[in-house]
Amino acid sequence: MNTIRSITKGEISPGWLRTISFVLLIVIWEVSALLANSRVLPDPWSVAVVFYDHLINGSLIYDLGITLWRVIAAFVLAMVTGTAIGILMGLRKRLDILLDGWLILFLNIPALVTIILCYVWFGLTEVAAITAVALNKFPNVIVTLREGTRAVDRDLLQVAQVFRVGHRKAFFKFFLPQLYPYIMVAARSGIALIWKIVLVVELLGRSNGIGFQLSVFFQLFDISSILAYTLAFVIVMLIVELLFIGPMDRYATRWRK
Amino acid sequence: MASLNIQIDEKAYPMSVGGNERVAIKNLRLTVLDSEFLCIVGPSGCGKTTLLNIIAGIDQDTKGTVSTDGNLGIESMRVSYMFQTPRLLPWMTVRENVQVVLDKTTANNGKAEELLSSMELSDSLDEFPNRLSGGMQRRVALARAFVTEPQLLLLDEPFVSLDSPVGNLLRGLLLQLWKARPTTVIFVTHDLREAIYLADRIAFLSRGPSKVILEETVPLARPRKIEDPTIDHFRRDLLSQHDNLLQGIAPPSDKS
Repeated sequence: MNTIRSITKGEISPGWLRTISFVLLIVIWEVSALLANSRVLPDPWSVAVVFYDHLINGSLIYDLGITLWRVIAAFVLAMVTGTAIGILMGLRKRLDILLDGWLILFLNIPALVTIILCYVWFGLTEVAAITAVALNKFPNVIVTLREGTRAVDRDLLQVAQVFRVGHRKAFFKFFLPQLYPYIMVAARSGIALIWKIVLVVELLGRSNGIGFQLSVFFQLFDISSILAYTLAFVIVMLIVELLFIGPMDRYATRWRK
Repeated sequence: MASLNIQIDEKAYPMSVGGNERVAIKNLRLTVLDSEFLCIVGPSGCGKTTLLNIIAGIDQDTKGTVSTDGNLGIESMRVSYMFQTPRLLPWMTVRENVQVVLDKTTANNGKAEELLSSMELSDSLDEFPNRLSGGMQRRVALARAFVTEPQLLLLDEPFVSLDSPVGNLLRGLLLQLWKARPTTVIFVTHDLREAIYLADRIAFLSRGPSKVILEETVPLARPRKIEDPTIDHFRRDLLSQHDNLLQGIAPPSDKS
C-alpha cells in the first residue's frame, strides 16, 4: 500500500526522510550550541575536530577495540548460556518451576549491584568485568527464549519424529529455526543493553576502554571528547547493525516475504 | 515384505485435572497386508488420527502392540506420514523440505528433484512453501512422504480442505505414485466415496471408543475413474446393507 502511494503521489522516499532527519539533528545541535555559547555544549564542528584528533593522535582506536572486545565476549557468553537455559526451561516444566524464582531475582538485581559484587568477589579483573556484563543480559535472554520454546510448533517436531531424522537434525533443522525470531529479539536488545553496561563496568574497575576514558574526560570537564567518544561508539554499533545483525535477520526471515 | 498387525487394547486420554479419562480406542484389531491400500473410514472425532499416531509411534502411551512380519516392532519399518495439514517447514524451500527427511548419503543424489519434477513441481524447487497454493503444498508433502521409499505410508485425511478438482488430481497422483512404488498404505478419511476410489479394502470404525465394526474389500478393478458410476453403486449398496455405518454404529447383522 505504502509503496504504491509513494509512487503515485510522488512522496519523499524513506532514504531521503532518514537523511533529512539526520541533518535536522545536526542543525538543532548547532543552533543549541550557538544559543548556549558555553563549554558544556560544544558545537558539532568542534566535536568533529576533537574526534579526528583522538582518532589520529589519541587512543580512540585502542579504547574502541578494548570495549568492543568486552561487548562481544559478554554478548556471546550471555546469548549462549541464556539460550541454552531458556530452551531447557521452556521444555522442562519441573526445571522451569525450580529456576523461575531465581530468574525473577536476577531480572530485578540492578546492574550496578552485579558489577560491584563481581568486582568485590572476583577482583578488578577482565573476567569479573565480562561476567558482570553478561549476568545483566543473561536473564533477559532466558525469558525470551523460554517464551520462544513454549511457542514452538510441536506438529513440525512430530514430522522429524515420524521420519526419524535423528536428534541432531531434529534440533538444528526443525526446532532451532523456530526460535530464530526470538534469538534475534534477544540479540538486538542485548547488544544495545550490553554496550551501555560495559561502559559502566569500565568506569568502575578498568583502566582502559571507552568507559574509562569517559571518566577521565569527565574529571577534566572535557565535554567535546566525551561527545567524540560517544559518537565513535555509536558509529561502530551502527556498523555492527548494518553489516551483521541486519543481514543475518534478513537471511533468517527471507521466507516470510 | 511388510504386513502389519495392529492390536490396541486401550488408548485413553486423561481429561482435565482430577477428571475422568476418555477412552478413545478399545479392543481394536486390524491387519494390513503387504502393499495393500487400506482405507479407514469413521465418523469425525472417533479417534482416527489417534490411531495413526499410535501406528506411527508418535503416541506411545497406549496399551497394545503394532507389529510387522516376524513380530518386529514398528521401529523396524521405514514409515512415512502425510498429515492433515501439509506441515512443511516454512523456512525451507520445496527442495529442502523433501531432502530434509533423507539421510546425508541420499539427500543430494537427485532423488528429491526427480520425484518433485515427476509431480510437476520442477519450477517451484526453490520457492518457499508460503508462496505455493494449498494444492501444491500438499503435493510437496506427498513427495516428502514418498521420497524415503517407505514400507508403510500413513495418510490422515490429507486432501479434505481442497476443492474437489484439486483434491481429485492429488488422489490420482497418490495412486500413480503408489503404483510406481508399491508400499503398504493406511489412508484415513471420513469420505466413503474417496475411500472406495482409493482402497483395496476399507475398515469402518465405530464411534469412540473406537473399534473396527466392518471390513469390506473393494471389488472394483484398477485403474478406477473418479467419476465412475460403479463407485457410487458400490457405496449405495454398502450403505443400504448397513445403515448407520458412517455414523459409526455397528451393523446388527454382523457377518458371522
